[in-house]
Amino acid sequence: MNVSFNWLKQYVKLPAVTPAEVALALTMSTVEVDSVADQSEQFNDIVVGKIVDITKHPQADRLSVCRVDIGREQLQVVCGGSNLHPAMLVALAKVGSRVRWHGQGEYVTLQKTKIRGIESHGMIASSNEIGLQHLLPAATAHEIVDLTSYQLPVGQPLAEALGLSDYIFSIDNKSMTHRPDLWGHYGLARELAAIYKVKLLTLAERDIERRDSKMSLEVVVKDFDACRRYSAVVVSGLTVGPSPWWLRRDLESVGINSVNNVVDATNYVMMAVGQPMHAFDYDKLDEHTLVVDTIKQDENFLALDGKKYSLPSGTITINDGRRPVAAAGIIGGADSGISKATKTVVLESAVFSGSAIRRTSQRLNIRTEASARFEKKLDPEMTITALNLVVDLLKQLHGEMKVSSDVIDRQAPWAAETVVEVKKEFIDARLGKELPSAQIVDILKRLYFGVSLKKKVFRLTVPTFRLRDIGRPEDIVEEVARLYGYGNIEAVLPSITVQKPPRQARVQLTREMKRLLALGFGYTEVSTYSFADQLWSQLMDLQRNRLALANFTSQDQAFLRTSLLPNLMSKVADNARWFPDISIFELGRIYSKGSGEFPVDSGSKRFLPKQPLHLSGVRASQKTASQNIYRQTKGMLLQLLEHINLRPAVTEETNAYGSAVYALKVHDKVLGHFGLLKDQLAKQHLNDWNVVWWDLDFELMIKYCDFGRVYGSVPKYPAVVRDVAIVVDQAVTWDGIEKEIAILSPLIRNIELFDIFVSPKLGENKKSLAFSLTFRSDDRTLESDEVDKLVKTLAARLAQKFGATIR
Amino acid sequence: MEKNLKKIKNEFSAALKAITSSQELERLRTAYLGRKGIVTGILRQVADLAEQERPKIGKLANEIKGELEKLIISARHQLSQSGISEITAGLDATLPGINQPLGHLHPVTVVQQQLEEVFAGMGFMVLDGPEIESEYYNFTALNIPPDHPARDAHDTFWLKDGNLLRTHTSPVQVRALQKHGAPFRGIVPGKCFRYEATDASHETVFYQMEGLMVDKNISISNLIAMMQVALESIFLTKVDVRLRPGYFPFVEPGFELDIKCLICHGGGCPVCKRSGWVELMPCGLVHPEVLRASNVSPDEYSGFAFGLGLTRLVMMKYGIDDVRLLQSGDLRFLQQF
Repeated sequence: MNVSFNWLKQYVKLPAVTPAEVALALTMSTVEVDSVADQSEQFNDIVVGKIVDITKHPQADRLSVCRVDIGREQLQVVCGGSNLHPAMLVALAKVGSRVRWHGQGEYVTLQKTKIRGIESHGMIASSNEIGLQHLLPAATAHEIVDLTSYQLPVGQPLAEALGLSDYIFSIDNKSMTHRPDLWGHYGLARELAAIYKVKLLTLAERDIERRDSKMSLEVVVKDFDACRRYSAVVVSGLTVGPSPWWLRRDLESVGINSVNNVVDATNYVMMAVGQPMHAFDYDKLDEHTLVVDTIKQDENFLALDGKKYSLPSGTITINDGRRPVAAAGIIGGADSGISKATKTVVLESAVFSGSAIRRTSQRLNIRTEASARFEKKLDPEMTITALNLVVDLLKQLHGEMKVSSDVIDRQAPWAAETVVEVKKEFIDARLGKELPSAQIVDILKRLYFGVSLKKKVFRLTVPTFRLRDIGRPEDIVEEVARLYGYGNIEAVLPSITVQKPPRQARVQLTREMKRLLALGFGYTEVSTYSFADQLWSQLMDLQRNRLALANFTSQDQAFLRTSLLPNLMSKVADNARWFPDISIFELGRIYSKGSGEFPVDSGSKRFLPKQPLHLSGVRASQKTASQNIYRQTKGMLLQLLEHINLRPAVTEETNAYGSAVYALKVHDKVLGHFGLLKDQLAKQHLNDWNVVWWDLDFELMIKYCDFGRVYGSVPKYPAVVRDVAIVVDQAVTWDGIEKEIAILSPLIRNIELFDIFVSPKLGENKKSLAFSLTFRSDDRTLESDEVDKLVKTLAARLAQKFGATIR
Repeated sequence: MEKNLKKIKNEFSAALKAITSSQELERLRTAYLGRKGIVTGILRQVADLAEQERPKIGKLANEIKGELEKLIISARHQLSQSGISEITAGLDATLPGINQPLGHLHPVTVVQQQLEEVFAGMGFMVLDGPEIESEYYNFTALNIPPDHPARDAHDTFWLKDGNLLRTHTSPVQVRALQKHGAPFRGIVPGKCFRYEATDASHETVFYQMEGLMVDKNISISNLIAMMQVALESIFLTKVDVRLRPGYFPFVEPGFELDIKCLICHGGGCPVCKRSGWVELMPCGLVHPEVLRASNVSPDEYSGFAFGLGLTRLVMMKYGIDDVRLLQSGDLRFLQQF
């Protein structure tokens, strides 16, 4: 909302403070003022000029050369205006002012220039060249601003002459959705009166008196839940036309476009007191009846914006007994609106159900100044005040206007007053500071609460304009604290209850895994969207049980990821241009249909979809051989798990996108998988890179992780190490050999494969495996002979089982 | 004995001159000073000498041992200086080092872990919650019923199944209190979602860190003090905070917390838009309805909550000018951290 400083000052006598200080005071005590704009700034160096004489430009038919009196001097200005005449008062933009050429594009600083050979010391402006197109609309493109009828002093700065020297505060509507009372200047002025401890002026409000013959008007409110109060009155004798200058200016200053001298009056009152109003053309109402009702089925409706709407059931409508004439609080109907021919109107001032208005406004996608206010809970006492004000204003604008009906006022029965009781000690406890009772009373009185104090309990009557946001003791704490000043509350550290710190396995595991991967194994952590990369999800066949979004801004956001891997593959593809080797990982949630661990609501047996944390990574390389990165990755995964005392079983598996896929299992649960990316995918979509992927169920890791260590004594006796190389068929796999070695003797403490070698010299389809064996006893120093014997036995067994020969 | 010692010293000096490599030097050292070395042998014999000779010879032998050691050290030094050591032969020490593979943590992780440490030090648990959230926890339990205008401030991604992607970490306030009860201190760093078009300063994904403290008689004054302590630990400097009214339905009263601009110290600069203050985080005393929804009695307990914009903090800390980089997976960006 835009707020005019001049408008505020009509309602409150402020001490000597600048607009910026007032904005800060509101920010610190009421609501944040985002910015303060000096309205006159855009009119710097623009003055009222008087054309002294006009001659034709010698080089151009459509241009004139004018001499313009601006008080202390006369300027020569070249102008293309079509409506120039001698003694005309114009808006003269001097060199240095900010203008938009031909009313288009950005504002530029005006320079002295030559136009077709003739010097021009400024510009005689058209309204859209100086941002006044709404206030002083031009009839044709070449029409310049004619100020002659305003009788302004020559040479006076334009802003001053037109009263455009206001300061406009900008306040974010979202920051005051709880304070409908602040949606008009009077409410903000009331806050300022409380903050500065000055007097709030009463509204110049007079009760409406009917003096004319009575015109009939029937108002029926069928549903008081939908409409708490409906006040209306008929006025006649109107002449619809443009509003006077001051009204247009005041509305435009706060961002409301001027329409005509009836609609503008209702908008003015809305901006003054926050009560939206509507005017119906009385003669267009079929039965001179207004029925407020909630419709039970969809109804077609032609609105005054010229569009056809289907009003959804649940919409509050105003109908004239025959058809809807307004979607209440949102938009009026086309054929009951104000036209040039309108003479008699019904003025509506009502309070509708906020949630109903909000639902309809969202369904129809119409947000208006009125609907934004009705969405809140408006002050039911304001309807009559607003009617009084608008009738007064219309009378001022239309000399012939007469009040032609009684004020009709339909309202739901409601409690006369809302009372909140608060203990003084409660206020003190929440503030963390004791305030004298008198000070609390003073603050609340300044905020228009009815206050009585008995036995340290405040009994507070809530002003009707605060019913929306005040209803409990906590609300009173805020009222007291914000006017007392948050800056006056000293910081005091709380005294706390010391509790046993909980085990935070997730936090520790997250930290250690990320650090090991990044700072130990050379991986870079990435964070990808929670939406699934669609290309790779499809390529990898990872779309099953995926969850779909109902709304999204781009097709990439249509589904949530069911695995981290597709997104990681896509990132590898993105980075392949820049890096020959890529190791990336992500720790994040993946999502799929089916019940997960988090309940949907309190005490519910229903659960949100599965969304476990996974830890996944991809190692990709342009040059390093597959088997190398595969073995490095496998080793790394087992080391990672070893770190948390998990020694998984590794078993072969298959999936849609991998080859050499293995599962890691602990406690019979699958902890994760790893494998190579299928050749065909790597070839077609990753430049034939070698790619290894891995994926771990982080929730299971949290469940089973163990950071403990068991101490075993340092070996007392030396170890004997023997290197052995064997030649076997290429088809023989290592796992069998390793098992055979392991069962040879308890003296074998470590087996380390250090070389694999394939060569025709070894024989066809043969490979050499070299490994080193560490023998050690806990109770004696081993003799060479004993170890040699064991190696011989091993050689014999390997020869027998695998056809191995010792090299 | 005395003569013998001097002779040994002379022989050693002569041998030392012929040395050309550190291996030879080591061999020489072992021959004289090793466990079975000549000088070591003499020192062992000292015990067997006559009582009047023992101190003199012992002293001399030790002196010679010390001299020999010094000579060896200086010879070792000379060998390395002259570059004739075969260890350094052929080495160009000015060649660039060979990098070992070292990865990088995501900048959000770096800052998040720093914050976790600060709050863990103040006795806060570090919690997590679901990213797919129900309408109940994301809104209703936080005192934002259906058709509440405050829902306008939350541009929401909805799932077809009626759930949503959480728009803030605040739902974990209720989940955490339901699970752990009061008194409670915890933070919830995490991913949140906003249904909006992206540009350099808007992203559909952002990181927030919720904080919640519930205990007996928690006050506004406590909130100010705790935030000041935490922020001073985060920014590693003195921090001035101020509260002003802010509206969030799940707190009452609600505040915006500003800190005095760390760049200009309140004098006014472009960073703080000349105001001297930078808006840092929304906070407030937990709304009694939220406590009730969390099965905590508002008559017995009160608390405060705050929401720190983790993404914004990361961008401030590193001067990152495009928020989309954080989710880009671009290694040219990520490897800077």
